[in-house]
Amino acid sequence: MDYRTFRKQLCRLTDRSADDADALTEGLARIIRESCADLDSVAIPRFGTFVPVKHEEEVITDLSTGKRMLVPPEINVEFHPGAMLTKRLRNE
Amino acid sequence: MNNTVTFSQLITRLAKVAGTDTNTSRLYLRSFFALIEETLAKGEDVTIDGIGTFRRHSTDDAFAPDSGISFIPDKTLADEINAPFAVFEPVELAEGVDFSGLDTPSPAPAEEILSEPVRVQEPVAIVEEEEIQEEETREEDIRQEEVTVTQAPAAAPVSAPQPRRPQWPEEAEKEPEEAAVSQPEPVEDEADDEYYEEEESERPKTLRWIIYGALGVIAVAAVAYFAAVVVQPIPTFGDDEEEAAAADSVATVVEEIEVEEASAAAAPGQTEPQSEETRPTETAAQTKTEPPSAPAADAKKQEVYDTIKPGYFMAQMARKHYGNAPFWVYIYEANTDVIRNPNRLSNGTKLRIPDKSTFPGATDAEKLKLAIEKQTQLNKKFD
Repeated sequence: MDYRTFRKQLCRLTDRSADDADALTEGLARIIRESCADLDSVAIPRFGTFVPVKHEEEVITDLSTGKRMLVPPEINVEFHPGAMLTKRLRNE
Repeated sequence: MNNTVTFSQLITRLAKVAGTDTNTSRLYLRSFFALIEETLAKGEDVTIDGIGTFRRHSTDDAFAPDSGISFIPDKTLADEINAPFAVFEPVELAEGVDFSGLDTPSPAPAEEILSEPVRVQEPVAIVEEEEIQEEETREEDIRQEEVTVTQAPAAAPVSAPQPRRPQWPEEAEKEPEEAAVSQPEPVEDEADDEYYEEEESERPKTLRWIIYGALGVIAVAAVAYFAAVVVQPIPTFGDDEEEAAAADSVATVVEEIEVEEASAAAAPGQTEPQSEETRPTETAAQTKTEPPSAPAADAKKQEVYDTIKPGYFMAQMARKHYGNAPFWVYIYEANTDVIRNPNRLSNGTKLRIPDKSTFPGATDAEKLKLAIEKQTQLNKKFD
């Protein structure tokens, strides 16, 4: 499901306009970005947690060329589904 | 950092960001995530702009996570989170570069590293700031251990920690100069200061205890002197063994005198001629010695005095002057104006020694008996 379809269903579900849905979605994305940039997790009950994981710089070896590379640090956002969501997805 | 944004905080922040009330934000968020859950439950993936894609994995997928769902962050989300590191790119390393010290970077100042031209050094500095704090705490621990374990002033100086830092080619040239400038070795001085502070704090304690000990010895000596010299313990008569032995000796003397008198009364004939023979001589001697006896009597009339000394009391005086200790009672009677209690005498008291002829009793034995009786009465009175 792409975002357009998702937004359409969401607007129908919440009885809101597309602009309102976009504004709220953009606000949610902004909060998640800011929190993860500060390495803070965002917990959604019955759904899951967005967890930022920071990887420090490291030296890796390119297997194809055999040369060593110094990779800069990086923050990845992981999603840890909650127990309710996991249980439901397994039962479906 | 490393906190968790709760759902209520998320609602509040969303209401603030989107300019709505909290109820609207709450309803929207619940609907939002419920719709994602429903979609995933149907087995479909969900892509949301600005957040990412939730992908549902089938059970047949060997690389699927245990939860059956994976999340791929949106590019905008990933780029904005990694904006601080956007200036860095993977760098191909030249051969011969040593990264053995990368895991334990040196506690060098962050400004120094930031000034390096290599682009990778800024994140290294970020990491090293944390490492510097850990290194400082380690140094403090080492200092404390050195001070407590080595209790000698000439302890081996605490060597400054040799930092392990990556040897960059340009930096390796600057290393000796920087090390000479930036390592004043304050650790050794601080450790020594702590040691000397402890030593100085111990000195007054020792001196104080020495002073206390000296004062204690002086006090004990003073008390002992006072007890031995100023307040003399007066022996009570009839209580100690010496008095008992004296009483026994007195009793034996009295018995001997009585036996002599009885034998003299039982054989008058034998003794009378002797007495008669001796009488003229005695009378002659008396007549002859009468002129010198007058000044002797005058001398006897002169009063005799004695002084109480340590270990020299009325009993000893009586033994000295009369030959028997129980006669002290007459010394006491002659000095009642000076002595109130015969058991409490003070040194230096001058006592008058009465003449033995003034004692009651005809014979020495009677005098001694009477003296002992009187001594018993006095002991009962003053004990």
